[in-house]
Amino acid sequence: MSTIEVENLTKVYRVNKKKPGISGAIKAMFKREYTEVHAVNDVSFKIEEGELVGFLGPNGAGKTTTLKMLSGILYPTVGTAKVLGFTPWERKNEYRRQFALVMGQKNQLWWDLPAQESLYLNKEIYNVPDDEYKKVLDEMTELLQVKKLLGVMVRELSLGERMKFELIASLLHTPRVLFLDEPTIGLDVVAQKNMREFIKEYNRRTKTTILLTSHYMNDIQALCDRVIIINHGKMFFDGGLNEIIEKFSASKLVTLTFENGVVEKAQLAQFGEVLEYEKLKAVLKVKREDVARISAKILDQWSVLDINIEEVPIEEIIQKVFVSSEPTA
Amino acid sequence: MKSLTEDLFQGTPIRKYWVILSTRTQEDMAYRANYILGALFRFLPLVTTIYLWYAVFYSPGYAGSGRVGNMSFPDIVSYYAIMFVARGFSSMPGMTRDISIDIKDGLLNRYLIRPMSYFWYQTMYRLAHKLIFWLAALITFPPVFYLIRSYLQHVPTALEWAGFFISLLIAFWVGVLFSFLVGCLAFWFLEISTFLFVIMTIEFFLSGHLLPLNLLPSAIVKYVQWLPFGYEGYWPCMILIGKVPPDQMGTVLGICFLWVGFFFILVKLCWEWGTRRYSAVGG
Repeated sequence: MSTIEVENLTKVYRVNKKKPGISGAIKAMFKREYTEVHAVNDVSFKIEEGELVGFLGPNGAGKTTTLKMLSGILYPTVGTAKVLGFTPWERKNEYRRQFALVMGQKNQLWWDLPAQESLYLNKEIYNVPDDEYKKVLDEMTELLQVKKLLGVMVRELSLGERMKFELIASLLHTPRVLFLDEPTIGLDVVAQKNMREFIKEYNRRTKTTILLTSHYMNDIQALCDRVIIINHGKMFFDGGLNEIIEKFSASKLVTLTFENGVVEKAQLAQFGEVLEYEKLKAVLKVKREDVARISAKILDQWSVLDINIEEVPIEEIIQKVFVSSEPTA
Repeated sequence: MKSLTEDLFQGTPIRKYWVILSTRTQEDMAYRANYILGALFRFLPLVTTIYLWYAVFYSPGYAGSGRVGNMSFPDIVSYYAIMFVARGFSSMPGMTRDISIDIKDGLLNRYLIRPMSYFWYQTMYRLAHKLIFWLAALITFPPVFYLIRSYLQHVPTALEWAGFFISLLIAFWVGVLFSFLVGCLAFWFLEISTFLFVIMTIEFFLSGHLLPLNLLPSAIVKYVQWLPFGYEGYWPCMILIGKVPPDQMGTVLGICFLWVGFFFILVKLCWEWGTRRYSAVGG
């Protein structure tokens, strides 16, 4: 049995559709119009123990709604899910003791308490033994460099510091499954890197199953070998990160540095789309299957100092996937 | 050095709720200005109420019998003084609002993902407030009761004392359960501030805080005195000032136990139905 099994999961919201302006507000008092929003639409996947899977999609795609159903916060409209053998929305304590949810945009610690008290309260809620609590706390506060902030009220911490404590709080009870919803959002570059390294190392060491949503491709590329892409509630892809490139990117980028002479832009255009052009340097977008042949031709034709062949940036590929997965009017 | 209560209930399912209670109590005490002001001025409404009734009983030209209904002025003073004690157990300021905000703004998530009961969390939170309240009231209430001692004419029997203390415990549970239920309305109506105002106004009136219920027309008293709100203030007061005959004490308290049982079931049902509708906004 997989650690996470999701089958035909669907969540439909009935949303009040109010017309703009005061007349719209008055009409809505007497007669309301509703529209159905399929936040998650027939999503199915399985995740095995120890996997670190990226859940990718634009805003409003259904990523967070899916995580909320797997955390038991929301009931689905249709479909089933099993996490560690439990149905999440039954909210059994045995299940709640084995998973954790960290939401980058929602504070879950107690705002009016010092960080240490908030963590201690979490320890007691999860019934973590004293010696284990001390060990985990010492280790994590050292790793994330927040030990000196333990006495500070949660409300007085910066966003990055608070996110670190949110992560520590979620890991105190050594969960078997961890749901991370945009954990690096709003963090500076250094903090993002620290967070990513910590998550990767934690997953490697403890074999915790992690499902991570993020808008930052750096997060996905650094952490996830497998990615699930979702848009408008529907799944469009489930597979390795490399497979996205092969499946959705028909081209590669060829960067040329010429030794001497002038190569006209029009001359290069016959080989592919010219993305950048300078006197001695050009970047071409070439169809994947033609790269070898065209590279050979270019090398034959001109004196090339350097040639670099690389994939189209993954952000561009993902953006195309999102656009292509938009429903047609 | 460990405090006496630091390891209390260690290894038991209620340990986490004890820690919640302890933490929230410490948190409340940290807001010193709020704490001190509350302690000093908690009894101010009692003073104004007594003056109001003094005016009713002793205003010039009043040719009354010295009683309003079956209440004398000393009865009235005793009633309102004891009402402050009773409401110190039953009123839950902010509970309904906090619950409705947690539901409306998606803050309930942090409780739903943890192995704990939101109802018991809120109960411990309010119990913490009560502990703080009574810590201060133990200092301020005795002098007030000493000042009005000449009006505290009825000497309660042992049965009345027992009935009174039981009724205070019941008052706490009626307050918690009712406030929780009203807060749960936010699962269905999201914005419930007007509901709150209306319901709290009705509750305030029917608890006997504004006016002893037995002064209402008898056709109304016959029914409203048995509503749960009467147990939040009216009945504890009436028990201690000797207005409940011994043979009726069992009936009075028994009906309230039924209300508490009914509310517990209703809370469980509302929570089950409500969380199915919960939309967990944000994030």
